[in-house]
Amino acid sequence: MLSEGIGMRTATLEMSGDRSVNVLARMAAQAHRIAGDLANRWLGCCDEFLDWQRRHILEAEPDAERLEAHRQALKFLLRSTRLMHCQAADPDFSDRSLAAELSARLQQLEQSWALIHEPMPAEDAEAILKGVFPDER
Amino acid sequence: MNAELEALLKAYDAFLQVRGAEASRLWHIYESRLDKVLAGHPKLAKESLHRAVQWAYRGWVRAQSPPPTIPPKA
Repeated sequence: MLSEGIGMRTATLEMSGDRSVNVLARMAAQAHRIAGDLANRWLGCCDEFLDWQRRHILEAEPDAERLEAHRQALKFLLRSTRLMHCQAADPDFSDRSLAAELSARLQQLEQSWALIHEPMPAEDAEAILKGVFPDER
Repeated sequence: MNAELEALLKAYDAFLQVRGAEASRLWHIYESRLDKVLAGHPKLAKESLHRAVQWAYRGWVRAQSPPPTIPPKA
């Protein structure tokens, strides 16, 4: 009788343990889903930024105010994309393709920074281009 | 424009314009074009050539872009 009672209690505890593990697994799956959704939304945000940059910075002649706004926005995007890429590059992250997507976008954002905010001085660039492509005007 | 430089600018442009993980592949294509040009200029650093191409890219994009549309007169 006594051993039956202990057995029942153990079984109840085990069931409860299984249930809590299931709850934890569901929570972890949800957390992964949220992180994946966030990364996808972030990639969309980066795409919008890069499209805007093309139209309003690269194809246009932006004034100092627009350039400064771009600089600030790009700085924030770079910092946040680095953080997200770090998370997505973790071997435990559920969606492996997101790390590659974030890495590619990070590379494009880094190029944007150098291209727009840290260009090579004109005289240095012209000297190199003239040396390498002599027929270039 | 020099054909080699134009090819570099187009390859760099393709990398910057693409959306998705494909960008990495296009970056490698651009880099391999840089390497090809550098083969004839062993004293020039890859980063220096890239930065010069990057500088030329700004002017090239503006030259390629359509002129701004003027709204019709009322």
